[in-house]
Amino acid sequence: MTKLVGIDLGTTFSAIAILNSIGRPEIIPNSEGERITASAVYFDEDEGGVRVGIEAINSRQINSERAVRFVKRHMGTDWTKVIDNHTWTPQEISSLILKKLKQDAEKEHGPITDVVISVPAHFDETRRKATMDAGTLAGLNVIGIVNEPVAAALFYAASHDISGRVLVYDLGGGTFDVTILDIKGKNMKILCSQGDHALGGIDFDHKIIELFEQEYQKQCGAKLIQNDQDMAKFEDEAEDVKKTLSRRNSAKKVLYGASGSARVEITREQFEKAIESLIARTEMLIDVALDEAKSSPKDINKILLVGGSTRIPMVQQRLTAKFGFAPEAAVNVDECVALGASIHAGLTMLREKPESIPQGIAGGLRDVKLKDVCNHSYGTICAPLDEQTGRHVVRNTILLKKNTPLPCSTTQTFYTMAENQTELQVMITQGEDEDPDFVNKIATEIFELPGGRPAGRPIRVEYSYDANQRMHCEFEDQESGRKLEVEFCIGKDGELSQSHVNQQAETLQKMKVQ
Amino acid sequence: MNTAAIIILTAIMTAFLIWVIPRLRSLLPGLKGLDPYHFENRVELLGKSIDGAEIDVLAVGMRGRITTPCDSCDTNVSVEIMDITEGLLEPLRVLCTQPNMRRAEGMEFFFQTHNGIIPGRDAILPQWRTVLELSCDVLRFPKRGQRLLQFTTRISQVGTGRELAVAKTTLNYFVAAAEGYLDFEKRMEQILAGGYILAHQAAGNQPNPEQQKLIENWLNGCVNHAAANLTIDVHKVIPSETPEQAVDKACEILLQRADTNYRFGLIEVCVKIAAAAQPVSRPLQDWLKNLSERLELPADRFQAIYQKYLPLEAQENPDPACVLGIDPTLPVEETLKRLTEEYRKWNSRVNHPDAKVRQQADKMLSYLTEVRSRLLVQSKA
Repeated sequence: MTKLVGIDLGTTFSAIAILNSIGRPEIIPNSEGERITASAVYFDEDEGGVRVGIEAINSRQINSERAVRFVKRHMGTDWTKVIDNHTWTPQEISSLILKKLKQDAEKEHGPITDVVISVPAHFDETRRKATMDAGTLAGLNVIGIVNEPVAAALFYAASHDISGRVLVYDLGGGTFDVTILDIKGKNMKILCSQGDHALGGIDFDHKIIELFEQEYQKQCGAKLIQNDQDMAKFEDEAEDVKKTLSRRNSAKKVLYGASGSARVEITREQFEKAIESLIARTEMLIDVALDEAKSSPKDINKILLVGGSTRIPMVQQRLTAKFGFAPEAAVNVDECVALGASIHAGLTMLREKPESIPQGIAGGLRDVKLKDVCNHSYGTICAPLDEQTGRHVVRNTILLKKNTPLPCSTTQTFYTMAENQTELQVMITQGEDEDPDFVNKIATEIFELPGGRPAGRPIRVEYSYDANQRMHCEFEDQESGRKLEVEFCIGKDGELSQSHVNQQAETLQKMKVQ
Repeated sequence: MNTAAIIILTAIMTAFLIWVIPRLRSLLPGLKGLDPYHFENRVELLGKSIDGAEIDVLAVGMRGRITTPCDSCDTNVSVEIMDITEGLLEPLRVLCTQPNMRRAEGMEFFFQTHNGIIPGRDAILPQWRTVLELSCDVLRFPKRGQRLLQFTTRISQVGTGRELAVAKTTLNYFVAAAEGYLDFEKRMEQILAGGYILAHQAAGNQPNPEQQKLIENWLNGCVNHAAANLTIDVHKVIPSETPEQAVDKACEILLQRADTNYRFGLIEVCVKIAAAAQPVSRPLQDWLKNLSERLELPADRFQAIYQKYLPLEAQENPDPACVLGIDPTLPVEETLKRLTEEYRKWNSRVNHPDAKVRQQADKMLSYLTEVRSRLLVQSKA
């Protein structure tokens, strides 16, 4: 029987959920009996195996050099970690977390292959692809990628009877997303998403560490954190203080540093002052999202909280002050993304392989409808005439605009610049800027053209984006009928090649993850 | 007797002339009046439609006698154009933008092509033959307006280069489209001098080596672009008593004489020059903004240049008016809207593959948050 599984691959915690026989999502606890698993990896020195989860967090204080946390922040970048002469990429480390989730879930449910993994709404094409690669490396078949706030809203709408314009405020361990959508029963129409890649629980923890440092300096006259090991230790202490401050007005701690111990007390007021700039960043992003959705705070009917950091009272107070009503915490903020991702897996399979879905699940999902949007703008580099200077300037021209409902496609005609132009450098960009220096060039290809023609030959460019958030581009020389097609798939622009993925997957399958 | 003597003398002279004129023709091919087949050229002004645009085309033709030193002489034909509006004693060059229609050195118009083998020593080309069809948009004249152009068509022997036939003709031509190069050079002198003054001012009139390099590279780029070799005495071109006066005059000249593209380029180089000596003081930040306004550049374009080339960390106490284009007199609501727009822009840059851009974006986001918080506190107060 097809198992429809969703995974929330979070910065600090991850979770896995499955659709039950009547299409309801359920969290699958890990082998330690916990419903969420810390996204931490520790490479065991003695046994050569890998520990994932709470064990990794505990071991990290012993030897922080062999531990990795918050790897999600490095997804899609060239960051690496060398352990025992092996260079680990973010995809590989993430795959170990996914492998742990997979193997624990399989103990109860049997083999699991097809999954949907959630990503922050603001993740670009490279990061999305890196996440898919991580799934492949873990031996999973990633049938789709879903934006975290969309997954949360899916679960919320599928399990509650609501209508109106909803703002999903997703403040997780490492990222922040805000999504505005219209919900009518089980029909969801996404209007827009905005996100901040460097704003989450760990940034709040670092603010507490700064307070620790100040207090320690005052009492002991020395630096508290002197190496990575200290940082690992005090990150955990700070997280603990942060959680306490969500329940109480102050938190006490004894800090054991190199120059002795110091007893510190952090008040909620101190904490709130320290995180004021971070909260202000979330507010600015809300303003941006409201602006994109052509809405004002009074147009929002509900605010749905997602992510562990929304437990901070100041977050809820500021939202209440801005919108005039309290945000809704009707769903488990740590689990709703994984639960929604499993619903998304069901919807994806219903769309692509309806015959493989058991009737009970199909019935449960029958009324759920999701209309998603393009998360970024996509364009190409060209040289239009600048009206102000009367000269041709190199510009990024946007073809597919951000927040266009999916699936979508658009066509525009460009013209060759030179006589006897025999090739065209085709660049596909992601970003909102006109300035090419500020956009992400996600693909560069050479399109060969017939020679011996004057300038100004028309080139038709078509961009399309499917419901699975995958993009397809086609360039056509209209006179000769020659075409260049670009599909965003494995092997492009620094992403892992298929052979490399398969080879790595084989190696990683052999690794013992506990 | 007298009558008979006159008749005889006339007969002798006639016989002499009949004998001597053909010989004189070959000795003096330029003696047009004496030779009905003298070598001559002509220029016709044609209007042609090229890619939908009406363009003046000059058709240069030739005909007449070509005398060669040998039989089967291989020849070239060339065409030169001079502007003789100021008189034959002061001919001015006509330049060409097409490299294949220039002399080996310089930009002066010069066209040469193979003319073919002339079979006999005394050949006559009886009909007009077009040597060259020349589109006027590739020519650069000394000045705009009515010009008198002299066209020289020359036949020469291949190998020796010996001139075999030459003809000159003139054409009155009205130069309407492109600016004359003499006017352009004069204007370039002024705008380059203006640019130099402002670029130096951006470096506090004491440029460090990096700033000096920026100024030189930019000026060289401008001169190359103008395809001219200009030596400028800045103080002669824009005389002034104080640096402030020089800046005022430079701005005035640039506003009148420099195109928008040049002014954009200048403000960009000024911002880069300022960034090359950090930290950029608040007065210099304000000066740059003010300069952009004086050069009448659109505020949004200045903002883009300023944000791109002058990172926040390079500025001493960054001024929101310069960095974000926020007018302090704007109502709070409008300022918030502007901040939201800026936040959207920079937030889309935090995913950039270049770490430098990502860091810049992160700093801008923090700065925007700071400005917004300050604004909200002020508005509450």
